[in-house]
Amino acid sequence: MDLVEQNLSDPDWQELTMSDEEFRRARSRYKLRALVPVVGFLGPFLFLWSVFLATPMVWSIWLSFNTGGLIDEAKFVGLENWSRMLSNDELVRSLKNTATYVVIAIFVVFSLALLIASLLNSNKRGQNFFKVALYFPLLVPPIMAGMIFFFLTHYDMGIINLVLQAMNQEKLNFLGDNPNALLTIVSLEVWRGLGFWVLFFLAGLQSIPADLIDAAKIDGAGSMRRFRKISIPTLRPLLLFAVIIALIFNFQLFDSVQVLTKGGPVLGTTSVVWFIYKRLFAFQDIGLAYATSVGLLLLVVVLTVVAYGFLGKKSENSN
Amino acid sequence: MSLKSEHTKELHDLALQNSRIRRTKSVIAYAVLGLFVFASVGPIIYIISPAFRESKSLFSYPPQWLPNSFYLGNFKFLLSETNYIRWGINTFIFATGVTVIALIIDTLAGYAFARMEFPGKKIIFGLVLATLMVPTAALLAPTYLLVRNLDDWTFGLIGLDTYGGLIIPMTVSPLGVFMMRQFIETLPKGLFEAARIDGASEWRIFTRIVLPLMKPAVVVLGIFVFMMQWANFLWPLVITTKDETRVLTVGIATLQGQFVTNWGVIAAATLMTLAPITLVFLFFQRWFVQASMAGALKQ
Amino acid sequence: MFLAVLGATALVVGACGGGGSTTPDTQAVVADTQAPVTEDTVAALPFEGVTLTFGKAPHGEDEKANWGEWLPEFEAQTGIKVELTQVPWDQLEALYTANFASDTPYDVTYQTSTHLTLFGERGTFEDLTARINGADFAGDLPNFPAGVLGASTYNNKLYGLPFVVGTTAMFANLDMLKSAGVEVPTSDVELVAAAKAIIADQKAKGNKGVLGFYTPRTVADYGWYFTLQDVHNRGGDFLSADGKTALMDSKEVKESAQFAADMICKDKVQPANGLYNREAAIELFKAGKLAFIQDEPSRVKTFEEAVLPFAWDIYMPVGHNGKATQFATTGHWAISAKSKNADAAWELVKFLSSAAFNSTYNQRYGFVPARLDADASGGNEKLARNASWVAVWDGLKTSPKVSQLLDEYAKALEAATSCKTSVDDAFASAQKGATEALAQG
Repeated sequence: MDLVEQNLSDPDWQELTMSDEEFRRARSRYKLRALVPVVGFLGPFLFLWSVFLATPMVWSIWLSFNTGGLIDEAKFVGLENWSRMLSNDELVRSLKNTATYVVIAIFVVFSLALLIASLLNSNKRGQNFFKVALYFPLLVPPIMAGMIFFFLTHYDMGIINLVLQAMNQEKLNFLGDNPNALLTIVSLEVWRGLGFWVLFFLAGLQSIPADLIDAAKIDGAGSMRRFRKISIPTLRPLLLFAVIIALIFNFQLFDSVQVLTKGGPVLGTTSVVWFIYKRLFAFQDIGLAYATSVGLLLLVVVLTVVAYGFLGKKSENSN
Repeated sequence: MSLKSEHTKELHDLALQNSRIRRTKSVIAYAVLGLFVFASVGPIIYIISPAFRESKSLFSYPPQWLPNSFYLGNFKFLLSETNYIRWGINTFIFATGVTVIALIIDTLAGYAFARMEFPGKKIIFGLVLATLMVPTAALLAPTYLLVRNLDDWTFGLIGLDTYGGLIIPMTVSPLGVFMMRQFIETLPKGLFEAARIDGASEWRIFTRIVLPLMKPAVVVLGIFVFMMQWANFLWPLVITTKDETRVLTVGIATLQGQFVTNWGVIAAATLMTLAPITLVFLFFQRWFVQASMAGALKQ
Repeated sequence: MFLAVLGATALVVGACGGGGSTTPDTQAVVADTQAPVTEDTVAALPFEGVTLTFGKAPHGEDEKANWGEWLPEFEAQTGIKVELTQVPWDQLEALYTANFASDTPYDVTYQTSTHLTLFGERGTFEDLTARINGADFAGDLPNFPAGVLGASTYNNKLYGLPFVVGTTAMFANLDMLKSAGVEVPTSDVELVAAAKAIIADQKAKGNKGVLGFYTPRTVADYGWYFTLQDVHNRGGDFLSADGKTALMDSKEVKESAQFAADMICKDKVQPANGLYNREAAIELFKAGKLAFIQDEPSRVKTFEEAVLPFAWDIYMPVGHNGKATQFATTGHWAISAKSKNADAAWELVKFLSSAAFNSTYNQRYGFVPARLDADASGGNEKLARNASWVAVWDGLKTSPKVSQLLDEYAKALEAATSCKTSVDDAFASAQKGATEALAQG
């Protein structure tokens, strides 16, 4: 007590005390100064982002309320594109196909990738060879990947039909029947994407502390049980990132549709981005295309938030 | 026989049984892995065969799985009649340029989002992430017009048929920032606080502490960005108008006819494109998976 | 950051404004062309120093090299330097959308009927009507068939000068016909009977898996391109003559689709959709496993180079009740409305569409020249016969909505030939889509 009073009466200390006005000014100056490194670190990205990503995006939102606007002059039409979008049958089909594709692709890719990653994790010999070999398909350009799949699914010469024929089974019509065509597209995308996710999950598995697994072994937990009780919970935060990224990327399904099926048969493989692409460039229906892109953006944002809430909460609990 | 030796035998048998199970397990594991490798790499044979064939068609009856001749005409055509080498160099400059710039701005921004406090942080980050979800095709024309008009403003550095115009718009990747942020957030907070108390500047913390720890994550992101740009088609398609400024994907596409395509040439081109990228990949893959990378992706 | 957004937005808006502000220039250019064009071309190279940009999607992997031989002649004659850009067919519309939206589009481009008015009606191409009626073109104009020019004209505007017309041809394996003792069919009904007879004959001789007929009916393989001549043969069309009413659910369209569907689902002379795509079917024919195939005449060269192990020939695609017309699209040379060298561009277009160049080009790529005084057969009897069918050419009429209407038609055709959707249902839905498309904008 005495000490405080003594300090307060100290002329030096008193001199240092500032008025409210001075304090406010100093505070904002301090805050501004604290922003300097933020600008330095965030500036380069945020500048390029605002010019090359945010601006085109703002513009595309504006175009969704207009007709034309790329080659010819934009004409404001209010919500017309949006109401046309909501009543478009082909878009409904495209959305259904894309959703089905996203669910199957994520499920198949993630289960296969987790299986392979855990096999690689417990069998270290030749790991590098397997990693490179599995990543290889990602290097093949989409046009050629499509050609490869024409071969694989060829009615007479495709490897699967040759096997079926040897077993006296009926051959499959891969691209002419539903849901075969969509499943063929799923396999093409799984073929291309599997390697990336194997590496991804392998990295995750390798980060699980060895003592955790040893402890479980001593407790007599089998490998399946160890996988379920230790690997999966530890991987959950990783899964969150993976699911979000996979959602975003898979909703953009386009390449393999363009190369393999052009949306057919009977609209069995139209995807949302294929729908947008056709309106935007082939039909020059700019307004509908942009209304749909903004709509897709909103949908994926909602799904991401839901995924985040669902998986994010659980991962917090498990930590 | 003594009790002790009986126990030893029992233990020995158990151990033998265990190692047998383990061996069987590993045989099964490698069989499964081999199957996946076959499924991954096997289909490439469909490219090899037409690339070395004189025929212009992809298919033939009866099927030819292996090249029956060693015809090099398709490769010769690419090297002498097209700008193939130039396309390759352009692709390399494009992919490398994007990768280098993206890595710099993404790590810096990732650090800011992970470890710095500033008003509106969450909102800005949310907006940045949201732009990841727009289809790239939709942004194509607006970005093109933007770059077209930047030509005068940037003294021709960013414009049509320039490396600047090709590279700079592609360097903006919210995914990279997201990934870098996730990584930096997993680094122990103590590291930063100790350094701050010592009076180290943010820049010093970033270069001396964060960057060395982030090396594996940077390599992973780098390879990912490089691969994406190596395969990029739409943006280089619209932003380049001259044969000499084209990249491989676009150049190869200009070899396809409207109705009739010489698939032998396309297959040869694909093989020639696969070779260098595979080498790049093999060179970097030893950094590809390191335990700490997993941290990069953890919450 | 927000400042940056604002600045960039200003730039983008500037881009739009820039597009608008060029309109007076363009009008000036068009006005210029009304004046008599270069009477005295002898007076040393009127376009010395002009550089033209030229965008063209290729018809073969060797086209770039060929242009290297073709263009110098023109450049020497006029003093114009031509910068050729080969644009890939793959995602062509995306490229052109961006290019035409800028203020420096290609001066001259190659455009098909589906793109000509899609872009042209949005102000990208110059209307060539005045130019083709000019004195310098008076000797050329009569060589263009009225039907071909008519199909390329929309609302009295001609956005591109026709260069080639597409046709389709039916290829027949004559050995198989002989073996089964059937004649070359001349009508659709005869075709089905002949195909059935051949399949039965081959089966009896132990040749299993021989197929009767193939032509694409799917969206992915441009089914509309190979089917619409049958609608014309029946006297109908998918769009009314004034281009305002969709006729997707008309009797002729549906009967034609029903016939195509029956060949697959009922008569079983054509394999189900998806089993073989176009390339695979061509290989089937080459291997002697297919009796008839309707495809592009450019395959004549492919088959001659491959030296097929059986006798074959090409015929008109068979018609309904003996009526047979040709249907396909037209390829044009178009001049950009924003071109700063429109007169030089017209010189290039005249060169490209000249009888001499047309013959040279199509001797290599096998299309039918859009002018009667060009001979692209190069002495090849089959190609000459194919070229003569231009007399009954009744090709696609260009219009800005035609891409979308064809998409509706193609989707319905694919559904109808899938053997799972009825023709009525498929084309009712196409009619709905097409009507909506026509009503919009």
